[in-house]
Amino acid sequence: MQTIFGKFSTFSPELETALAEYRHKIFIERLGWPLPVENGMERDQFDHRDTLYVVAREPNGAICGCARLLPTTEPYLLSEVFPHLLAGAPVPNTHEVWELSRFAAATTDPNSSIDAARNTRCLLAAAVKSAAEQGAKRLITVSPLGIERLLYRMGVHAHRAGPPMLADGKPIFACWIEIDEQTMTALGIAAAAMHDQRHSVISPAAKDQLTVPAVRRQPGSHIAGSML
Amino acid sequence: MSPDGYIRLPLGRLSALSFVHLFSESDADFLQELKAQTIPASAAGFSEWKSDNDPAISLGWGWFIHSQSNRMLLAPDGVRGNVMLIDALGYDLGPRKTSSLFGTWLSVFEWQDTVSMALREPIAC
Repeated sequence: MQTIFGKFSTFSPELETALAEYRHKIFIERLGWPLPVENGMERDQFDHRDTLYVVAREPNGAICGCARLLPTTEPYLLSEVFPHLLAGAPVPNTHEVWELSRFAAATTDPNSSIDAARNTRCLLAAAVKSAAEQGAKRLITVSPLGIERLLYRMGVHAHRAGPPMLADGKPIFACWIEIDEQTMTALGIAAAAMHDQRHSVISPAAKDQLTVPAVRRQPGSHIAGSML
Repeated sequence: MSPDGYIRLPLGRLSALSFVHLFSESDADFLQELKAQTIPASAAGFSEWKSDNDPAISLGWGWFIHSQSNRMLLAPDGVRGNVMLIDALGYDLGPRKTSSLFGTWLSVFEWQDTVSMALREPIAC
């Protein structure tokens, strides 16, 4: 599995299209989220030239995971759409807090041998590492409530920013993910891997620094993780 | 509320707070996960509560119906929330111990009847 990290502006048109189509398959077709759609592709106002993405691909090149990272010093999903999930607390606006959104770890190939739980952990590790390299000390997300249980099981240091609320009949909440020793250990991110690495592709060799423990696949779980 | 989003308090303060039920749901995927762990569950789901003070404490946990006894029990996936419990000197107990102590606190908090009732009603909040 290869993990790609970079700004929208550095992606080829083919990769950008493939990412938008993958997001449509996952967030619209499978999860049924009411998101903006155009010609079978899912994009919104937060997908722009400076947006950072982490994309996981299978050996055959098919996308099997994605994540979006936005600095909280610019408009982001929580600040513009879901500030009420912070229960009255001020919306984060600092270089040390980045928003993680459009996180999904799922293959679209029913015959894929990718392990869903391992894929989720690898992708989250890559997103945390990438955010930390931008100076992030914490991540904030808007997520379905089930994500909280997933993060807890992984051992990630995560906690609520406020009570969950219903959106389109489904409970969602704002979740802090602390980029601290507990989270780094839980995700198998070696301290040596935390250098300033600004190239857009994490090679398979470098990826091996993300020592990911084998995790058994959850039965019936095709989308091991998803965040708005 | 602390700048990191946690509400910090000692466990003993919880008894002075009132908690209101937000919503509870059954969750078929969660039930399958518990069964895969060989937990004898006939139903499972989660429950959400919050305190009636400001800022509100938010707590949520998983539950399951024990197949043999038909009792509603706390699921082994921790109690989640926006609280960091502190010790007598004001030091953080850490997220794991906080979750564990909330599990202990729940054992004397009457939540099962409310959840059972709520599961018979349409979800709304």
